[in-house]
Order: sequence, then structure tokens, then C-alpha cells
Amino acid sequence: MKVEVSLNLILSCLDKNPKAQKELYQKLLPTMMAICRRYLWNKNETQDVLQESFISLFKSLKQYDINKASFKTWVSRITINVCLAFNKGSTKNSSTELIINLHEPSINPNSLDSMSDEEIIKYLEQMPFPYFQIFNLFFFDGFTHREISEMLDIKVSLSRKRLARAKEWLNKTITDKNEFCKNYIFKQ
Amino acid sequence: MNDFLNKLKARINNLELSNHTEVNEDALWNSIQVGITEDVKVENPRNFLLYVPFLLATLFLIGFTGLYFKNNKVSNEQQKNVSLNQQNSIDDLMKKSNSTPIPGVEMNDLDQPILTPKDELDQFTFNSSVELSKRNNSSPENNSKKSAVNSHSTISKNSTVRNKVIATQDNNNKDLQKIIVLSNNSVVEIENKITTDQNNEELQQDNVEINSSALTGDNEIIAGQNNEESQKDIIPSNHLAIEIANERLMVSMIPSVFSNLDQNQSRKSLDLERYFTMKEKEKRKISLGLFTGVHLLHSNLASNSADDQIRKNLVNAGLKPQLGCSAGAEITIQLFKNLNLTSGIEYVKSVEQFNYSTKWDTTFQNGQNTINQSSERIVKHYNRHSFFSVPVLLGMEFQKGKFEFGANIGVGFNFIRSQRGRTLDNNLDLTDFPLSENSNLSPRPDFYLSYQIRPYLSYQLKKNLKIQLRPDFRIQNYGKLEFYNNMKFSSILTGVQTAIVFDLFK
Repeated sequence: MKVEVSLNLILSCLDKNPKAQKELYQKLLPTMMAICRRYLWNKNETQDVLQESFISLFKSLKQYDINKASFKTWVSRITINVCLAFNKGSTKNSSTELIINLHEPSINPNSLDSMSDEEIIKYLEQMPFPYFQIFNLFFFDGFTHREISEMLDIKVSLSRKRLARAKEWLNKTITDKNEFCKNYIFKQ
Repeated sequence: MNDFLNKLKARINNLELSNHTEVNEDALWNSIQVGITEDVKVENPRNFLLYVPFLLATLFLIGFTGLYFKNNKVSNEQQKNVSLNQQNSIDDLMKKSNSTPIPGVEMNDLDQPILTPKDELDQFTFNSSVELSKRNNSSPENNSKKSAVNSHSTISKNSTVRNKVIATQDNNNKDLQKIIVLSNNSVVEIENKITTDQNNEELQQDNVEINSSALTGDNEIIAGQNNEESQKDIIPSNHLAIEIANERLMVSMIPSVFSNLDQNQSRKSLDLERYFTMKEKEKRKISLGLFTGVHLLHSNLASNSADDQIRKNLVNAGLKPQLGCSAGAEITIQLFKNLNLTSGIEYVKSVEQFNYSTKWDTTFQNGQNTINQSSERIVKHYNRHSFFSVPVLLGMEFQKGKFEFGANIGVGFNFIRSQRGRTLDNNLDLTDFPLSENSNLSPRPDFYLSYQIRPYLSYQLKKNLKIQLRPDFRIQNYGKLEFYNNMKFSSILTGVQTAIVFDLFK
């Protein structure tokens, strides 16, 4: 989280100061948006997820213990849990999109620095969603396989398998070539 | 690879997205403010409506169950009281009779009549007809006459007398008089005649004694006429003692009166029995049913507008019915012989599959080469919606042995609980619904009517328990909504249900 959240701001929010609450909302929105983009299966639910996440955050702000975890970690956990809850409702016996990719995107590992955040997210979204979900939880947010299995209601072995598949996909898409391909077109 | 992953991790951990087109910041903040300022989340008012039928049905059940048990208790108590009253009346009369002394007869200390000594009776013989006369016990003249009579009359020891005594003092008398005839065979015959005569009060206090010279066989002894002056001697027989009671009743010795009393009481109990039987028949048959079922939902858009035809055809072609389920409870009240009214509450979960495919041409570059390709997108989405239904159905039923068959027809009041899915918008683009909390932007309204017909076949398992199999046909009219550009949206629900029915009152 680039923007720091001060303790005074948190205390003002606990006093239900509307200005402080709006300030906290504006500071946290980009980070929580990024988490939603990574975890949410149905992107149309982003606004609903953010609404639920902020309401949960403000209502349970008094339960935040600074000694247990950083504020960033605490906010991330709330947003991830809301995203996973929405995913459960959306993915169960619902859409089976069969998008026939005619071209697998590839990426130069050295070009990460030149890529914007949006481009990185778009690149990672090409990963099949079940693998991307495990990859996010394990690699970026530091959950263990046991915790992931409890959160997603899957077996620990399946969690390990999906993480392995995610790494295979990354391996497949990374090229050592100096040529950098940004040559896929998204259907908007 | 590891280097790449570490860089990726560092970028992701500091990732922030500023350009978020999916989110309206101001609208989002307003909705968050509403959410955090309300202490108690306000339930959607339609949820309250969903609980009302449950509450009504529960109150209805409790009320009828309470009345049923109360009626049973009252009827049992009343029947008990009737029998108790009957018994009490008989007991009272028995006590009264026991306490009533026999007039004109001397009673010992135990209130028992003193019978004529045997040795005295042996001296008496009946030689001629027996005459009844009155005797004033208190008069010394009578006492002397008694002894005189005793000396002149004899009674045959071996005579078996069975006498039927009819005593009437006066035709106008209405007081109850009783004559007790005792014989050596202890045959007791009682004749009652009710006579009253205020002038004959003195007479009624006296004993009527029989003077008889000989008495064999059956004799009719007719009491003397109303003659206050006649004082005839009466010879009591060792086999025969005749007494005439005055207006006080000896119930224990008057079976006819006793039987009259019995008849009165039994008449009363019959009346009460008839009353309760009628009351039982008047009770309406009420049944409680629990049911579950599966169904298919066939939805259809209809429009006469030329602008909507493409969208209408694509949506209708895309919607395919899937198996849904339902469960509920209902109460059936018998109105007339074969006519009944059914209502209740049902929770229905329906599913439809929305299919859509689209192709487009695309190009991509590989280095300096441009390649033309075509892409295809196939969408298969399960649209789900759930609702509560409160049916009000009129039914006819017919019974044949253990089988009952009939049909229910009526309307249903449906309240949408949730709906979620995918369809085509006005631009023929895929869109999810609901778009927002605004119900106008969902394909189905929060409330709509359905028209239902439901034939059924029941089989009686036990006295008050039966199982029922029934197909279910409904036309669900959603009306014209803004979501589908005012095209008429409706569904036909076809399904089958099984039910267990309990007869609460029968």
C-alpha cells in the first residue's frame, strides 16, 4: 500500500467522523480495487463487493488490533473474504464460458518494469481463474495451503495442484526472447 | 523464473488501480454511508410480506388446535356432568325414600317398620271379603275395636294371598297414595294413584285397614269410599299388611316412579348425546399438507413491435428450462360436501439456461506479420430466481374407497426473493441482472400473479393420514417491464408434487 493510513485517521473514523471516513475510503479504494480485480470472478460485481467490503471495514473497525497485523493486511483479508463469498454465489453451477483463445500471450520477464499496473493485471487475468485464485492467495497474500483449502472449501492437495498449474502457465508464457509481444486484442 | 516471480510479487503488493471504470466513486460512497449510518439494517419490506403468511398460517393452526382440544374437553366434561347428575338424582331419591317413614306404621329406633307379631296374626282369618276402612290410630275407641276385631276374625295360615289393591278415596283426590301389599310370599305389588283432596287431609293421615273373613286366591280389595265417618275394623294378616301411604313418596318401593325418573334422566342423556353428535357432524374437515416437488419453467417474451423482434427471438431461443424444486405447507378447509378451499405457502427455486453465441473477426500481430482470425464466444449461463407463493385455490374432491381424486384451481400471489442471471440488453450485448437494487432493471417484478390448476390423487394410509400425488400447471404473468423494453414476459410452470396430508378435524 503506497499511501499510509495514520492512527489518528483510524481513531477519527471510530468516532464516526464523516470526513475522516470519506478520507479513509478514498485512500483505500485503489488498493481494494486491485484486490477485487485479482479475486473477483465476475467483474460486474466489483461495485457490490467494494460496498460490502467498506461497510464491513467500518463496522468492524473497532475490532482491529494493531498488534496482530498491519492495517493493510487486515483490509486485504476483509476484501478477499468478501470477494470469495461473491465468487461462491457466482461460480456455483453458473456460467461456463468457453473462450477459444487463438493466441497465447507471452511476456518478457524483463519488461515487467515497463508495464503498467493495469497491463500486469490484464496479463495475469489470462491465467485460468481457479489457478489464478490459488496463485493470488498463496503467492501474493501469503495464505498457507491449509488456510486456502478452508477458505475455498477444497482439499489441500487440490490447492497444491492448482498452484503448480499456475506456475506452469507462468512458465509457459514467459519468454527469454528479447522480443516483447503485446499482441493480443481483448474483446471489450 | 524466480526472479520474475519476485518482481511480480513486489509489483502486485504495491498494486493500486486508479482508473476504475467499473466503479462510480460517488455512488459507491453514498451507498457505503447509508450502510454504516444505519444501526439496524432495514430489511426489504417485501421480506416482511413473506413472513406475514407464515405468521397467519401459524396463528390459524394454533387457534384451531386449541379450539379442537377445548371442545373435546368441554364435551367430555359435559357428558361426565350428565352422568353425575343422573347418578346424583337417583342417589338423592334413594336417600329420601329411605328417610321417609311409612305412615301409620310404628317405627323402631332404627327407623324400620315394626311388623305385626306372628302370634297375633295367627288368630286372624279372613272369612269374607276384605274391606278397607280407615282407622284413627290415636283414638282409644279404635284400639278397642281392634281387639274386638281380632277376636272375631281369623286368617287362614295357609292362605296364600296375592292381592292387588286399588285404593281411591275420591275421584277428585290427587295426592299420591300407595298401597303396600305384603304376603307370605313377599310379593310386593304397588299401585299408585294420585289423589288430592284438601278435605281429606285427616283421612290421609290414617291407616286403612282391611277386614276380611276369608281370603283366598287373588282378590281385589277396593278401599272404602270417601267416608270420613266410617270406622271399620281392620284385621291385619300375618301374611298381609296393607298400607296406604300419604303424599310422601317411598321411592324405593315405587318402581314405576323410579322408572319414570330413570326415563326422564335417560331422555336427558339421549338429548345431550344427540346434541353432541350433531356438533361433531357440524365440525368442518380441516387438513394440513406438507409437499415438495420438481418443475420446469418455460419462459417467453412477446412483442408486436418490429424493433424488439431480434432481441425477442434471441432471448426466447436462448432460454431453456432446467429442473427446479419447491416445498411448502398448505391448509385445506372443507366448505361443503365436495368443495374445499386451500391456501398455504410455498418456496420455489427455478432455474433456466441462457445460451448465446457470437462470432467476430479479429486480427493480431506477430512481430511484423498481421494475421486475420475469427473468434467465437459461446455463453451458457444458468439464470436462477426464487420466490414465495401463496396460493388460494378452490377444489372439488371425490372419494372412492381409500382413494380420493380431485382438482384445485385458483390464483397464486408470488413474491420474488432473489433473481440473478444473464440475458441480452437492448443493444444485443450480454448483460447481467440485476443491474442494481432497482427492481425495474430486473426481468421479473417483485410481485406477480399466477394462475394455477392442480389435479390430484390421494391414497388413505391411516385414519387421518394420506399421501397425494399431483401435477402442477401454472401460468406466471410478469407483465411488461422496462428491463425488456416493455415486452410482455411470462412463464409456464409444469411440475409434479408429492404431499403428505394430515386430517386435523374430521
